[in-house]
Formats: sequence, structure tokens, C-alpha cells
Amino acid sequence: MNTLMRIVLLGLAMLVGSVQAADPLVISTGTDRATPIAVVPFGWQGGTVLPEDMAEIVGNDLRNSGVFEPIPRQNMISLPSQASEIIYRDWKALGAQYVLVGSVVPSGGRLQVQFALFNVATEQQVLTGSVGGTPDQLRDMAHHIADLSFEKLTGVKGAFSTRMLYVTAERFSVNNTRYTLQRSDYDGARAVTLLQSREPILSPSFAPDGRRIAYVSFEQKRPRIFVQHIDTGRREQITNFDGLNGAPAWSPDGGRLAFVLSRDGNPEIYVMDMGSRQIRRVTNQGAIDTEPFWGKDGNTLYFTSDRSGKPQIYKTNINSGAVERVTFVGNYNANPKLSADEKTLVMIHRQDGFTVFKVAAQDLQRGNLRILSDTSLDESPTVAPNGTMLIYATRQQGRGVLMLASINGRVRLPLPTAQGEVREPSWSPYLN
Amino acid sequence: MAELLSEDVGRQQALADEVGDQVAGNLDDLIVKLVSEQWRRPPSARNGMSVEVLIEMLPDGTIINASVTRSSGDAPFDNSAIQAVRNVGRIAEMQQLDRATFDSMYRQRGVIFKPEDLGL
Repeated sequence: MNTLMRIVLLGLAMLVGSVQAADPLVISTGTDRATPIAVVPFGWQGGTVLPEDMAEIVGNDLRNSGVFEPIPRQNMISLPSQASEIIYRDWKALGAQYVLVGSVVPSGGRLQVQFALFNVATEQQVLTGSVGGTPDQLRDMAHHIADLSFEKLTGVKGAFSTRMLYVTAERFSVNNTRYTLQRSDYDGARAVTLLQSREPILSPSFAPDGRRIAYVSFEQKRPRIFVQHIDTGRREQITNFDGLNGAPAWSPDGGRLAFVLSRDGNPEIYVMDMGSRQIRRVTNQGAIDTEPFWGKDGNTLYFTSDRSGKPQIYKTNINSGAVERVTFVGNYNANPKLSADEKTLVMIHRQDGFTVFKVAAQDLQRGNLRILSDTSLDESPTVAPNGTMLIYATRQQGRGVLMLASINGRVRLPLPTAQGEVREPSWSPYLN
Repeated sequence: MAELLSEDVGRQQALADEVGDQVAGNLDDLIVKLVSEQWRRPPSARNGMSVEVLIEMLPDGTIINASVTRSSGDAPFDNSAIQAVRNVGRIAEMQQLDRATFDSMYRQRGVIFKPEDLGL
């Protein structure tokens, strides 16, 4: 700025009072570090040790989102369990931006948990609440507190109270493999067996109501689609067509099921009305069309097709039949899953060559693609209903395992699951 | 004599301006660096979003206020920018400025947060 200009500007500034003379600064980059948060071990007034460490569950939830980084307990200078015990100076010294405290009090046979969240910079409370339950609901209560805290701090609804489905396979001998369909918390805890079979189980998925699931079972030696009610265990066979019956996907309103049939010679996508059980063919092409996934409008289906020679992802309007190719980067893109805001497409992606399959996310507005996994034989990505995390199947030390990753790429960790091969994860919708 | 004096004053003023410009330029860079290091973007952040924030500072470099002057329309994104400024706390280097330069450039200063480095 030259002197003359400065004088003119200063003069102008004086004329109109305290106007900013300087151009605004521009901040175009930020830190890649997650936000440090202290989740202090919850106070407990009862006698015996609680069966679950709630603060650890809350801290892990927040970490899994990739947005927060819990401060290690051994670094904590003090262990407050209520607002009056917080010494902000200590938390500033540790670099914590937020502090979450809580205390558990027995009342009858139940437990009552008080919790509060504080902003260290402003020394203000940003959230407080209480939640009650039985001792075996401690995990639910912890996930609930994590959900509320996450939403308060990010504006995005927490997805830590959600569940997932997955399939295990334990091979005892050549002709003896036990397959199970499991439902667990999203983090792999509290797995419950929903179905057990000597024949393969594939492609489980939750209905939008979270109470029904669809899957493919080979129990009749051929792949057939079943729907099962989670609470009652009641199950119903939905398809019995010649050839392949596979890849069921619920429409957003739960009233229709898209799936793949090969009864007309090659795999094509069909939609069934769950009320009338009428089916309608959606694709009609000489190539393989498979793995349908619904757009939120209930009219769009994303799917995988090798009509261009190699598998790529397409979308079609099921009313008009118009088809549009969605992926162009790489020589293999399959298993499309959309984030809830429909801005991000998650898929299995092969850049080039033949052997390396990775989970990737494509920004549907800008088209850019990011690799999200650091493994190389990835399958079956499934996205949390709030779009911040995903789970996929991969191989570690020759064994099929599930990995949880944050969409922002900061977090990647194996989920604890039963022994045997673990595969085909599928994330639930919001359940509350 | 009067001419000489005024010439001398003029030269000194020019010299001071030059030094002031340099210091101020470096302080601009310093503020950008310190705020960037504290800026943690929420999950809703996308490249191309932008929020304008007014920073208010004391001559000792203490940041006393940060407020949104033009919202991005996304509250968590706006809050992340405010929080980034608050976390900087105090920029002691401001004390090397003469009062006039501080008043004109830093007592109140606009900052535009506009990410270009996000993956999405």
C-alpha cells in the first residue's frame, strides 16, 4: 500500500467513523487434527464396580466419528464428575476444547446418569442432561450421551445408537461350515445371532423401519430372498425364481424391494411391491446389472453394471428407464452406497491392474474421488445414517474382518467380532 | 530550515511506513497461520463455503471478541471459525506495532474463512 493511498483510506476511515481500513484476511486451510475433548471417567456412588465404563464408550464413539480426539486418561490432571469440580486451567493446559463429565447414581434397581459438556475456551456449559436405565442398558445410555454431544458440537445427528448386521462363517471341515447372521451395536459390541445355517447367508439389510431385515439364504441349496422380523424372529420367503435371486435393497418408504434375478438369462434388476408382491423389471441389457441401492426420492436406483466392459456404477430412473453412468475413474467400481445427504457415493474401487480393491468415496457434485481404506481386498461398504462413518469387510492375516472408518479418513480400526470369517456388514437406519 | 525539517519528517514518515508495512504484512501472515492451526472444520464443511468474521483485539494482542459478520448459512461451520479465533487467545507480536498502525489495521480486522483443502 503506498503512502498516498493509506492517507486517502485513513481519511475515509475518519469520515465514516471506525471503518476497517485493512483488507480482510483469508483463511483457506485448517488443521487436520480432530478436536481434542476430555471425556472424564464418570463418578459412581454405588458399591460394586459398574459392568461398563461409560466414559470410555462415549470417548470411543466420538473418536470413531473422526471429528474428535479423546484426551488419554493418564494425562488428566483432575477427574471432575460435576461442573463445580472443573478447573478450566488444567484442561487448557492439556489442549482440551471440550470437557464432558458425568456421574452415575443408583436409584432402586436402576441407574440415573447426570452429564454435562463444557467449552473450555468460553468456560461455558454447552449441554446438560440426564438419562436413566437398568445396569444392562449402560451401553445404550453411553451411546445416547455420545449422540447428544455429537449433535450439539457438530450440528449433525449422532449415529452411535445404531446397529449393524453381518454374516459369519466358521469352517469346521470340507462339508461342514456354520453360517450365522448377527446383529450388533454399530461398534461390534453385544452381538446377537438372528439366524444360523449350514448354507451361505448373503446381503443382509435393514428395512427403513429398523425392525425388518432382508437377506439371501442358500438353505434350499439355491439363493432365495427372505424377510425376517427382528423382534419375533418370524421369517418369510419372498422370492423363488429360477436362477440367481440376490442383492435385496429396501426402498426408502419400505414398501418396495429391489433385487436381482437371472431368470431371463442374465442378471437384471427388478422391483417388487411388498403389498401386492408384483414384480417389475427395471433394467434390460445384455450385460450384468446388480447391487441396486435406492436414492432418497424412491425413483432412482444406483447399481453396478459391466455394460461398458468393466464394472462401473450407473443410476436409473425406474419410471422413465433412463440410465446414466456415474463413475469414470478406475477400471472397476462396484457396490454403490449413498450417504444420507446424497452428496457422497461410497463404493469398492480399483484404480488399475487386477488385485487391489479399496473403499473410495466420490463427491457427486464435484466428481473427485478419495480412497478411504489402507487395505487391499475390501468389500461391502456400508455408511452410517449420518454419513460420518462407514464399515467395510476386508482381510487381515488371512481372515475376513470388519473395519470401521471415518468418512474424513482420520480413523480406521478393526471391529471386535466373533471368530471365523466375518463379512457383509450392513448399517441400520436411525432407530430412535 | 523549515523546508529541511519538513523534508526530514517526510523521509522519516516514509521510512516508518515502510517498516510498518513490513511488520503489518508479517503480522497478517502470522494471524492467518495461528488461526488456520486452530481451525477444525465440522462434518458439514465443504470446499467453497465461506463465513466472514470480525476479530477485535487489544494493543497487547489479546483477542477480546470474534463475531460473524456474514454467515455461511451453516451454524456449525460459523461456530468453527469463531472457535478457531477464540482458541488463538493472544498474539503478543502485536505489541511491536505503533499505535496508529494497530488501530487502523488490527483493532478490528475482518477474516474470511473459506476452505479449499477439504477432501469433499
